[in-house]
Amino acid sequence: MLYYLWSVIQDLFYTVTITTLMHAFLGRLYGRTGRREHAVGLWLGVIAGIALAVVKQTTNKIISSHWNHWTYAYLMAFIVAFFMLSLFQGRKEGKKPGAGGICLTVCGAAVSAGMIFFRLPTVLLYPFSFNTMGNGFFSAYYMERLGGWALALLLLFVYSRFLYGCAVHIRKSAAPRRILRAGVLLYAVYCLGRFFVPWISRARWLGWSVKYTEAEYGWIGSFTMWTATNAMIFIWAAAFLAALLALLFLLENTKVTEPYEHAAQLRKLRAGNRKRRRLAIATLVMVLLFVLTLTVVKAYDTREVVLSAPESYTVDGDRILIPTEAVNDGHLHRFEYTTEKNVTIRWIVVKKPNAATYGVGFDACEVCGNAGYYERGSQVVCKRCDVVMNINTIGFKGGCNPIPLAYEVGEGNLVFRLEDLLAGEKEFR
Amino acid sequence: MKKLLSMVLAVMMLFSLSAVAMAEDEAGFDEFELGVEGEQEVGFMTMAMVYFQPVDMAPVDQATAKENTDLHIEVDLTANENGYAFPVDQWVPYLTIDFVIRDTEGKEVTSGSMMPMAASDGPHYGNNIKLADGEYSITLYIKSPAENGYLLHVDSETGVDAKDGFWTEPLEATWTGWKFVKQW
Repeated sequence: MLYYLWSVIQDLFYTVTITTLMHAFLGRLYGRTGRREHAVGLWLGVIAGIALAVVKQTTNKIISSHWNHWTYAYLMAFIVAFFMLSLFQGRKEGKKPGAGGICLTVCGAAVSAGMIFFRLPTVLLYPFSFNTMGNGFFSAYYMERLGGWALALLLLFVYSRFLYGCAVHIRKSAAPRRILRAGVLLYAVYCLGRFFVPWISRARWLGWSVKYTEAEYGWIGSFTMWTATNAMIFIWAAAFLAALLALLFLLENTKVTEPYEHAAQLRKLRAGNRKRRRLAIATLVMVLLFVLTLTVVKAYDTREVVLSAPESYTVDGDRILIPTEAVNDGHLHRFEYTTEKNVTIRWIVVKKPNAATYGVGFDACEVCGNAGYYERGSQVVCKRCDVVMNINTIGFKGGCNPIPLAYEVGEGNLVFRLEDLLAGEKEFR
Repeated sequence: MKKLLSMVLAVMMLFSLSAVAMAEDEAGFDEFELGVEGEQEVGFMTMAMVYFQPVDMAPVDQATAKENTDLHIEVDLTANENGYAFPVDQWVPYLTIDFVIRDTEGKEVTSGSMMPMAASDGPHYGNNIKLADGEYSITLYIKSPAENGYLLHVDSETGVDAKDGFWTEPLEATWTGWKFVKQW
């Protein structure tokens, strides 16, 4: 659940922030006309995104990286055009759009459409990639993930409404305009860094011999890596811009500045201020919530699992004895043996539910290596790939199951032969 | 105003319909080369490493699900002249290929095993893995087919040239300067 909560927010936060500010900006400039034409762009972005998601999911016709690069080129063109036009067209509010205004509206709508088209398919396809361990759509696995995904979308929708309210009602008309311009420019920088080198590598389609190497791209390659490894900085910048707008809106509504003639009018003005302050505070709270989700919740969800400490056992010649009473509680138990070559071999034991047998295997699998397994609630989970093991099949060969380890039960002990343990040495080198 | 609406609609429709137009032009997937070394001769094999978006694999209970992973990594390999009678220029089966990915400071970031599998472009060893954008090196440890129960004829009449059998210590190959930037 948490994974999809923070992933969807991370994927869409910037897009939602910019498209919301764009809607407010064009609405302030050109009234209903601006909003309506921008809404056309928004919906076409959504329709195109859904179309791409459907084609991607049902055919092999979509090469994601190609699409991203084309969308990048499209976005760059419209962002630059929008930015330039906004320098000349974006000052007088509430007028009918002339030729320049029409171009500004089209470019703004095109930027929003492109941003939505860019991110939406990924988010829409999440529910088709949920790992339900073969339990289907109506399993708890699926519903839990769907819950995180849906909650993120709901929160983003609520945030969008609040931010829109701030951007529309703020009296400082320069604030939403400048904040939007800054946000759009930052997005262009991100796209440039993120996709510049791969885009250039597409030049081979034109017959050029271009290969992405440090030597050939120098600082551009470094810039690409910087934007890739610091992608969160751009999200923090978007959060800062949204919070800044909300803060400015809050500050301009702390006291009544409009003239009034009598106490009733003052009360009305104060009530209006109170309402706007609440809107600003709600926006700030939403931004804070997203920041916490992308820091605290994400850190918690992606934290490294520490394997439980190995337990003790008795060595009897070439046999290792583990009392059954020590492993009969249904929990995961881990053991270690260090070989003459100084290789530490780990193995696990878990008593199978409703059975007298044990799930026994090396603390490694053929897919994920010796990452190990840990206990999450009543589940045994692979530390590397997060696959939940069916406890009843632990001890069987294949897949992400622990590599089987032979054992016997006798005289109240699980008995392991040293020879069998040493056979697994290569897995832990 | 109708002109404005028509203009917006025209641009946007062009944009959304391009999905279908572009889809007709291309199919398959895009592989990205990994590391600055390109192809390497490792033992009797030529190896190259590529990566792309995480993929679904079957049977699902034996594969790393693409959920929570960032990329699919592959080693494409073919046999050169060899004493084990593997066909030249063909894929080599029964290998166990472990990998360790390290950051630029040499610290291990992740590790695991490549599984034998086939895609539309043929058989290879690969896996879905979780990895953040960044610069890395990857080292492969290629264990001999003998570890997976692959036998060799060693008699004088039908035996292979390499009668001493397979290698006993894993072959190693490293690709460096891998700038991983997720592009999907």
